[in-house]
Amino acid sequence: MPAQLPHGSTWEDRERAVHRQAWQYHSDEMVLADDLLSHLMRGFRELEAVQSPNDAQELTLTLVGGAANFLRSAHNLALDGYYVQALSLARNAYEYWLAGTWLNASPQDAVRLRQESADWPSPSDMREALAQDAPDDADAAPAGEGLYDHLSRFTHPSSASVSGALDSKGTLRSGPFYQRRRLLTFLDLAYETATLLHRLLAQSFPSLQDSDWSRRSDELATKVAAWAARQAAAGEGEGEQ
Amino acid sequence: MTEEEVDRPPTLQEIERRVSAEALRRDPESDAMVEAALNLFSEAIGQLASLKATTERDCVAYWMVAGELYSLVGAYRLLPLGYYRQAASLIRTALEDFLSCSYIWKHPEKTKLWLQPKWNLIPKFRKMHGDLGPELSDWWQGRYDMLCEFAHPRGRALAQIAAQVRRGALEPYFDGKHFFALSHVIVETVLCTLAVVPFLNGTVSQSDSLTREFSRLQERFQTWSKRPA
Repeated sequence: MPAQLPHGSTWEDRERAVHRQAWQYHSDEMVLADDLLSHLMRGFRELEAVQSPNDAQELTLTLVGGAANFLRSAHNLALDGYYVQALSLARNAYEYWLAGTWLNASPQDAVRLRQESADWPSPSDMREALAQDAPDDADAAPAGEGLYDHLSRFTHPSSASVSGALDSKGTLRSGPFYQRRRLLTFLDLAYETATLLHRLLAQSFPSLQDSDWSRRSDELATKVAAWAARQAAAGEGEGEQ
Repeated sequence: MTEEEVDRPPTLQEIERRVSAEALRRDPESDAMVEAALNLFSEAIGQLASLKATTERDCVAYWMVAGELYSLVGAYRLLPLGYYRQAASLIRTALEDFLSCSYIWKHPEKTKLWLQPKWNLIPKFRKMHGDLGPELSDWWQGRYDMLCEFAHPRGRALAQIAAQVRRGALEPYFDGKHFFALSHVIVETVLCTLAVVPFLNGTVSQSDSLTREFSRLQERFQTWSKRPA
């Protein structure tokens, strides 16, 4: 986009600058994000050998595939400084994961999910119901209560959703800017969602369990947990509000 | 290309580059229309930055159009890469910003609802879009419903992804119909925002160059909209 911004730069100049800073300050974190997404794609390639997935498996593949594309596009935007938009797309990915987890617990709902107009529980209702059914299962209620609501603040108009367009004085920004805390918040959510998607895939396809793919999933999950612990110790990220 | 590169499957980045090249080769007109619309929007908002917002309502309304612009630019970045559902989701957010901005401009006493931390206390969208007047209200609802179909993991969106899964391809791909349809909604949304939101419309009217660009974009839009799908 060639439009000149007030300080003489263009949108693309700003995006390139933010992209550079993201790699300069967070190269290990960017590599981990790439690894998590590539690993998801590798899981799909391994499943190409599954000739006739059953109905529930096909839906799981569909939902995980949809979520993977939301995460990948969110990652692209976050790298260029569109953090609010990236967080909004991460919410979609989480919504896909939630629907897949719901179907694992209630496979009879597959027909309803495929219909446009049928009643379908809201993401918050699904999460609450899953948490009640399996109170000890960390996957059923990820990242504590309210993750979906927290992300919704970036999707629908609110003080949070427009804040990325403002500088610290409340003046309109011209083009994207590097924001460390926003990027870390995004990475936290993206890592977590990718890890949940790996687990969902493994739960739905026995052929992936005890495989090299599964062992690599565990390694990546350990890296994510270590990263999250370091962030928590350093008080980084914006956390849930 | 090395032997090793030929043997391995393409990376996502390589696939995205290929899809983008195909989109720009097959439909450069749609890309150019979106770029022109976003440039105009960006310039109009750039002029707002020099204005002093005096009331809470003005501040929040300015923030919202800025948020709308960022969401549309995000969608523009994703469209050529073949991420249609994802672009649709961001355009939907932009439509919500446009609607919220129009609403608080008319009902300044409601501004505080957007400043409190609970996003779900803001009025329902179906209540707000009734305020736009019959024609605009129908346009908003029609586009919003279409974009919601793309964004949520339900019915049609799932059927499209399932078809991809059956082909064994999860990566993005070029789809001319989606590329055109979503580009069209972006340009429509910009034109609508500049025509309807009073402070932006005022900014455009007060600048000869912005007025010229706006008229030119409207004319191009009419011709472009009529082209065969």
